[in-house]
Amino acid sequence: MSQRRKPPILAEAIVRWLATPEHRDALLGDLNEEFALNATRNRRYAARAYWSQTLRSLPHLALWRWNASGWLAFTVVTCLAVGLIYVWDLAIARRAAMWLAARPDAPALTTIRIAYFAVQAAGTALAGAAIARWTFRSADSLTGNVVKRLLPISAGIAATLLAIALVSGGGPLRYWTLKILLTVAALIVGAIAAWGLRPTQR
Amino acid sequence: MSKPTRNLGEFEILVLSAIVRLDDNAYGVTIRREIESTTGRSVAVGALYATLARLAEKGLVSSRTGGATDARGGRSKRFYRLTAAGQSRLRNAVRSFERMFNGLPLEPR
Repeated sequence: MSQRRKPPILAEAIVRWLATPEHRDALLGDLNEEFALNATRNRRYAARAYWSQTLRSLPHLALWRWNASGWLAFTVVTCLAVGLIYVWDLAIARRAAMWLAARPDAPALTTIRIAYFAVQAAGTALAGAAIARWTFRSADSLTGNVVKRLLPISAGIAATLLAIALVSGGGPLRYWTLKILLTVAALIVGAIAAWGLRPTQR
Repeated sequence: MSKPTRNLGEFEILVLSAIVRLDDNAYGVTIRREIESTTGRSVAVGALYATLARLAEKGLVSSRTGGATDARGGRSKRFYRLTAAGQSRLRNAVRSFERMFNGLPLEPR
């Protein structure tokens, strides 16, 4: 193909970037084939048609790419886990701490805090177990699953908690650091426990 | 592996039908042209390939590569054909439409 008959570089780069590796060659080849055919008649029209196809394909390619990369699943699982952690926090952990504090023989504040974190860690471990159940693949080892799936989701959860801390006006940095570290630790413990307890034959 | 899935969408039916009509020459460009010339509907190449990938994931079509030409910038074509499951799903979809359309008073009154 001569230089004059090359398709628009930017449009081609956009398609190359968005197409999944498996279909990239066929997709770009199809666009090239049509461009070459149109260019024999009118090169301007050919370039316009190439751009038109690229722009009309953008939403489809972007959504396809998103699904293929698993980002949608990652986002959904992260949001569900954050939701579960917060529901447990509000419905169970905080109520347990308040119940302890309201007792006539209420323990010291530090003990109440430890009890709150312990109850919250149990709920977070359940979220970790749920993540392992939904996302871990038996074809991978435990380490592979933790590195490829749990750690990215944990990072997403930690980032969400940090964002909530910043938006809600914060609170002591030490509290949030501890909360995030405990959350990640509890997620890992829950996931490992779920992996260990999984049925070996399905 | 095919999954038990929902009914075929309208565009999926068009793509499967075009592949059947084109027989051994069903690849991106010809499938698009077939749909456009038969239905008058303009098809975005991204929509077509996203649909083909989805159909392949459902086990309704299979593909093979071949036919790189200079006009394609040396890039190979990907030819599609229906699997047995694809043929069965398309047949069921067509029969459903036939039953649904049978006796419809479509003539102007």
